[in-house]
Amino acid sequence: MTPLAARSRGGAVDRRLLHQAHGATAFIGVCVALGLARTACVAAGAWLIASLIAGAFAAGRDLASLTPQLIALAAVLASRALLASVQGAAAHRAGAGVKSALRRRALEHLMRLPSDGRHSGATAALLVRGIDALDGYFARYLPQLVLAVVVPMGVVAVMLAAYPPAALIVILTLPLIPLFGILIGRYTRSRAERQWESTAHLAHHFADLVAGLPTLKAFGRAARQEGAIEATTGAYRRRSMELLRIAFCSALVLELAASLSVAIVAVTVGVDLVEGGMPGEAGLRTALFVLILAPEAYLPLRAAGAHYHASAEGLAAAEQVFAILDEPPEEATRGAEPAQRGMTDAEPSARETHGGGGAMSLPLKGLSMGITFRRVVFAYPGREPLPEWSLTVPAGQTTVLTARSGAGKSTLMAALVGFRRPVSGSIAFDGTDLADLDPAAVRRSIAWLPQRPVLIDGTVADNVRLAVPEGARDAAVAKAIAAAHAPAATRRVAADGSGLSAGEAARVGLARLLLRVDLLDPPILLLDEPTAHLDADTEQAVLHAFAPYRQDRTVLIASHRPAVRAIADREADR
Amino acid sequence: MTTAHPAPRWRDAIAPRLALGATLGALAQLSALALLAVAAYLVSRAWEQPPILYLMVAVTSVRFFGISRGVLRYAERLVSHDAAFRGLERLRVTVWRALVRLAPAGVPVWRSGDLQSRLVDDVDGVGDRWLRGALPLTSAVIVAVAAVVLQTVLLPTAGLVLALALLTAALLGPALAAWSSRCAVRATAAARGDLTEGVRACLHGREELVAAGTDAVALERALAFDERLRRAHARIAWTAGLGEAAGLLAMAAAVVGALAVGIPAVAAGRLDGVLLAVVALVPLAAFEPVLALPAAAQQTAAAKACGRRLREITRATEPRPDPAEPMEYEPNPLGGPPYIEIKRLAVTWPGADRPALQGLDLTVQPGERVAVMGPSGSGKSTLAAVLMGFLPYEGTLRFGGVELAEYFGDDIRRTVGLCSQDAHVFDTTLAENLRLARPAAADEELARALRWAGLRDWLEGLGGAAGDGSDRGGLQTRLGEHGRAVSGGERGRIALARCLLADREVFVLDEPDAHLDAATAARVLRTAAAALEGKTAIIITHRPLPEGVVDRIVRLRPPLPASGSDTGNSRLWGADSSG
Repeated sequence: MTPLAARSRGGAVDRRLLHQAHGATAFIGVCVALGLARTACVAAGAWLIASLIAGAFAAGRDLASLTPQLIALAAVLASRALLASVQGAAAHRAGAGVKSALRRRALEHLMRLPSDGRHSGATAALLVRGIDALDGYFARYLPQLVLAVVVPMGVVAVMLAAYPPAALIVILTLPLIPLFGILIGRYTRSRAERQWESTAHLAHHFADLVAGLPTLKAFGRAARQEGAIEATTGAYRRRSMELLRIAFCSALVLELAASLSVAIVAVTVGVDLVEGGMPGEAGLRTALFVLILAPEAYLPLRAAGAHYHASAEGLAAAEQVFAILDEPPEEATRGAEPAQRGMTDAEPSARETHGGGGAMSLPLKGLSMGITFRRVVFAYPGREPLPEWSLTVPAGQTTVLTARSGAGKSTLMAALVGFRRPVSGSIAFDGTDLADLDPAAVRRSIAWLPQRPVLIDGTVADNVRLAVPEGARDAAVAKAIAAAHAPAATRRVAADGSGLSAGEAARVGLARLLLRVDLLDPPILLLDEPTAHLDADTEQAVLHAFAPYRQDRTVLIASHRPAVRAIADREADR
Repeated sequence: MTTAHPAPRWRDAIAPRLALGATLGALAQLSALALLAVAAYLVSRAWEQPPILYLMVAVTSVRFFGISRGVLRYAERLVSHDAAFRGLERLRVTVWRALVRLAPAGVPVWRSGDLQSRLVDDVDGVGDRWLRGALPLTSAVIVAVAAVVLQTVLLPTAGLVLALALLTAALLGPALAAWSSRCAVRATAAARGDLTEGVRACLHGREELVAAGTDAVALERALAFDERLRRAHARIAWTAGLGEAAGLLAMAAAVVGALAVGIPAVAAGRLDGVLLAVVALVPLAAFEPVLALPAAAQQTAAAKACGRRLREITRATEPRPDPAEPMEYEPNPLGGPPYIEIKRLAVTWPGADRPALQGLDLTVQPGERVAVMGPSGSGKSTLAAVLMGFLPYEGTLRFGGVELAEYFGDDIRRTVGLCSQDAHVFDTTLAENLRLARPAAADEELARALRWAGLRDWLEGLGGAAGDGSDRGGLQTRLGEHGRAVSGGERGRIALARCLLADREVFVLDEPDAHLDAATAARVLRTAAAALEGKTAIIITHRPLPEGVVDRIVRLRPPLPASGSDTGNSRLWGADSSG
């Protein structure tokens, strides 16, 4: 229903789609080849039909003598159908590859973007369902666009050889189509831009009312909006129709050029025949040949217009994906290509700790003073800032944060791993400002257990192995699982968490933390509500197993639970 | 109970325009058919070299049909788009009426922006059904019939051949296309679901993974599903072009068949040789609209899904139907707030399997201010919804001695004002947003309400002081998507100002202090309390209120079985989601 909206997006997205996705070039090559083959089929088919008619009518031959040509015609037309099938298959196959490549790029980029304000479910739907909608673009629109270039040129070449005057008519009318398309496009765009804001506004009106309906109903004003809906939709219709009257002109030019040139070819050929310029069976054959061929020059162009709509949904998704790709990556992850990190087994740790680009390569092996927060304030866009924090976490001790919920305990921990920046105040490790430290190195010195640890599709062991990029031996994994009282290593876990209870998931996260401590010996541990979903007995057992791990390490735990507070060397509010 | 409204009249209202559009479309296609047929005749006849005068009719008709097709198609597009837009107008009103009955408890759309926009898209999708589904189908059928009639007149066997071929294409093409789509869905559904979950987990756990340095590991695991999806797509790719190929094969059969019966007919004198070209070329034109049918069928299927989802809304059961014989609404004959009496109140949201609020006893004197406190999941917002007449209940809930269920919902809401947590700021001016509550309010009253809600500085920051006549700034500032961005805290206070402006006797304020720091919250609540002097106020909160704001505090306990992590239904249906 919104041809204008779709069309106004223009070719920028198309170009990026083709550039971004390798494999697209090869696909266009295949489309060109198929287009040429199709032109050959079309020309051969037209030639055979023309000769059959001319043979029977002009030369008076009977079916028996024409049978070979009839069989050839059947074969040629069947090949054309086969080509269509091959084209569809090739398009879907290539489209699948391009979609996959785009998805990978987007996901890799997303892993380096700040997560704030991004709804992970909606984004996942965009990357999977949204990108899959590009089928309409790759399978229908793009091949048709290639055909719209290849087939007319091929048809004109064949006509030129057969009967130049007819070819001339096509050559003269064909360029009118893109020409008028561009002219009308320009004209509508300048008009459209003037009207666009208000039209978009009207289209948005219904969505706004639906969103606010509970509010309207509470004030007893819902029923009265009916008239407003009718009025704005009516205004939307009138403005859209004004634009469409002009926008459809490009289609009118296309249709007129196509049908009128067929008419002109017919009349030109007819007059030539009457005047005796094309005598005999050969003359009739040529005349019919160009008559059948002429519409084929315009057909792909018309089809491309019709297929444009099929591509709109996918292009809209692609536009959103490109908007994501345009977002600058988070500073802390800049330069650290996620695709390389952890992919190779070759000493990623060495690269990370020493690769800080000359910044302070960090001596976090055991803090001597601790971590200091000085008048730190965090703010999320569109919300009131969180309350100010001033706090010291002494080195080698276990500090339990007991500030009330919503005070920003989780934000504090995220800041230590470099994902939040305070809007004011400072955070220092042993007196060195966090901003001056290499974030990769800082992360390497920390083991962090967030409130809701991530779960991936696989076994419990697979999930625990996410502790370190290098991977871990089974024995080490088993030890961590046992210490955290996590479920059996071979239990299946789904990425949506089904298969594990909340308490079990928490213990898988804890096992991951313990494994990281075992393998990397990080001096700092951050635990966000580690026992929130555990019953008192399990909590005690887990805390007992945790005791040796926190020995001599700087440990910060956010929790209100008495059992956790009991192990604290120190309690802290803000 | 189904809809109280008569069968959708919007379709009848646009039927004449759609019919005109279909007629114009069919005429355009018939022009194409006629163009090719007459051109074929013209060329054949010209070859016989008759006096040129004999050809003038054919020459003129060819030119006429050459122009008429384009012009008719243009007219068809305009008429049918206009009809679709008009249909949309009606459809939106129909859907709106249904939503008004159901909101907010009866439709799980509020709370989820995704579902909300889907609802709007669905309405547009139904419009596509006419444009890209029904119209192409109509003109294809008309052209096919005309072509078969023409062939039959010229040569009956050729008509039969064409009819069979067209029928095959019309049935087989869309069927194969649909089969191929089903294949694709079947082959990819599992991988697609796993991939979505994997991607979501990676995005959700991004910070943890990046901090541990294991983002690439997790990413590769998720992308393994993408590879599976890609392979599944590639495996079933061969089915994709079958629909189109079937149509083209049928067309090949029609052309070859026409020649196979035409050539002997010419030899036998049953068909004038001049007409052989017509018989041979008519199938080409007749197939053009039929070859577009698989796409139209797919479009129709998609639009049907949209229509189905909309019908779920237009036919949904009202959560709290108005009583058939309502009591006359006069909860306090003396004027002023009613006496509110709640005993053993239990409220269950539609679709939920257990009550969100249970066993509440509460009596509120006229003019009393009561704070209702409780942890999340204890049913605070549910209490607000039931007091607004949005939800059915069990137990006793009386205004002035009469059960709330006996009253018209709209009557209840004329006495009870709600400042809800998710109050919407509309995409219009600040003044219009506020005047929802009292259309006749003067600018000074609007400014006063904003001051009560602690927005004095904010209003001054908007510039264009109220009443100076400028249409931008001040109260005339546009808010929402196309205007000034409003933060969560500002939104809450605008909602509070709007609520205070309303001419109501009972006020339900649901977490009016949600996004405010302690000092601002205390100030706002005190002024609000002063503004509500003489009215009944029920203030729902999970934070302690400052001294003097309320007369009394009632604490809610979570309903049994107690559950700290109450997800599922309560979130979906919009029950308490605070904290």
